[in-house]
Amino acid sequence: MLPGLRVGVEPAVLKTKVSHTEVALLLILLLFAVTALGGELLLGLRDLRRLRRMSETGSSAIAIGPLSGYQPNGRPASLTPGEGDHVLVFVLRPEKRTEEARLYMGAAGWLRSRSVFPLAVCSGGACASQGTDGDSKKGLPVVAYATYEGMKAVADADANGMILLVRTKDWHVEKRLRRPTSLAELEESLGKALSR
Amino acid sequence: MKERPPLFTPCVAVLALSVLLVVAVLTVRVLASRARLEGSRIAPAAGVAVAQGFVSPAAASKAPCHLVRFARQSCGACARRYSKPYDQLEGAALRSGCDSFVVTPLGDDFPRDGPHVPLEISLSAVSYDFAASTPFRGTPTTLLAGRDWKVLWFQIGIVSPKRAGDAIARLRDYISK
Repeated sequence: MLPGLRVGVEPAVLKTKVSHTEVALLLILLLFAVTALGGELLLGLRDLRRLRRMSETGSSAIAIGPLSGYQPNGRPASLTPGEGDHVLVFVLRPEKRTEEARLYMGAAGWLRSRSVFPLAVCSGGACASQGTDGDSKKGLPVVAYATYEGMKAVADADANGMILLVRTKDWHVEKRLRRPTSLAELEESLGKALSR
Repeated sequence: MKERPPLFTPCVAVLALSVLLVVAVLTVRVLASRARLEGSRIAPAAGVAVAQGFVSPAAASKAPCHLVRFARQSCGACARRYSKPYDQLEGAALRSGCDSFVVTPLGDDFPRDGPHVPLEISLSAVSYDFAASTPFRGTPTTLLAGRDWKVLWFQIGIVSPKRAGDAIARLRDYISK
């Protein structure tokens, strides 16, 4: 113990008589500080939990709402996967539109054999061209408008370079996969995700 | 005579400082989120409306300004009894020829007490670009944008009379230019 320190502190603290008002003020401030800090902490933890649920490795359970929304012309999309199936949701970006559409259309057969339906979400002017109907006929349904929550989930994933594997039974995100650049990459990551 | 205790003991000072810190952090967070969005451009609120049907990006950009409200059925703060200042803002926007959109998270969970005015466009589905460019994370959130969808004013939570006044002033200033 450092006696000098004790002597230095004592006169200021110990010789003070604390009034009821001060104690009340202290308690109110303490309560306020604890509530505010606790609230901040809870908000932070909630965000963290949400991020963890959305992470690639974690088992996620986020409902994104039906994405079988509307085509670019406002007509209802024709996608009707059966119950128990999955939808692989990805964003068609204008600058990569052709190669991305080709990749998923090329994989359509392989995906169908595993009850997975590719579903393209239009961004920018990616679906403004006449190719949309053609893509749908070739096995690449395109959605231009859907629920805000669904679109937001897709946008958040895309911003992190991810695509979503969604359970169509309840429209929950089952897995977030890294955006593939080749058919082999797609088959590998999806194969792993489905086998778990 | 009884000695009067000092008002700020070290404990009280530390607590007061922590409270001030928390308040400052919260204020900075709110101001930062507002500042980030105001002045930035978002995508038009294109989508499928309950009454009006398909609203193309071009159709959503015709009006001189756009009011967007993100609300949901289960949100108590979205109820009409808390929305008088918002109603004033919406009235001012519609009188200026602007359009008023209501967007919900799930597309079918519009506030129970119905549209505030018949002219409201309730969007049950929105475009990817609109969702990606807007930071709606809680309800109610209100946003006022210019013709080119540049954000003029943004509010998270209930619109207070003061904030509605700010928005109306901003709207009048924008329309007069």
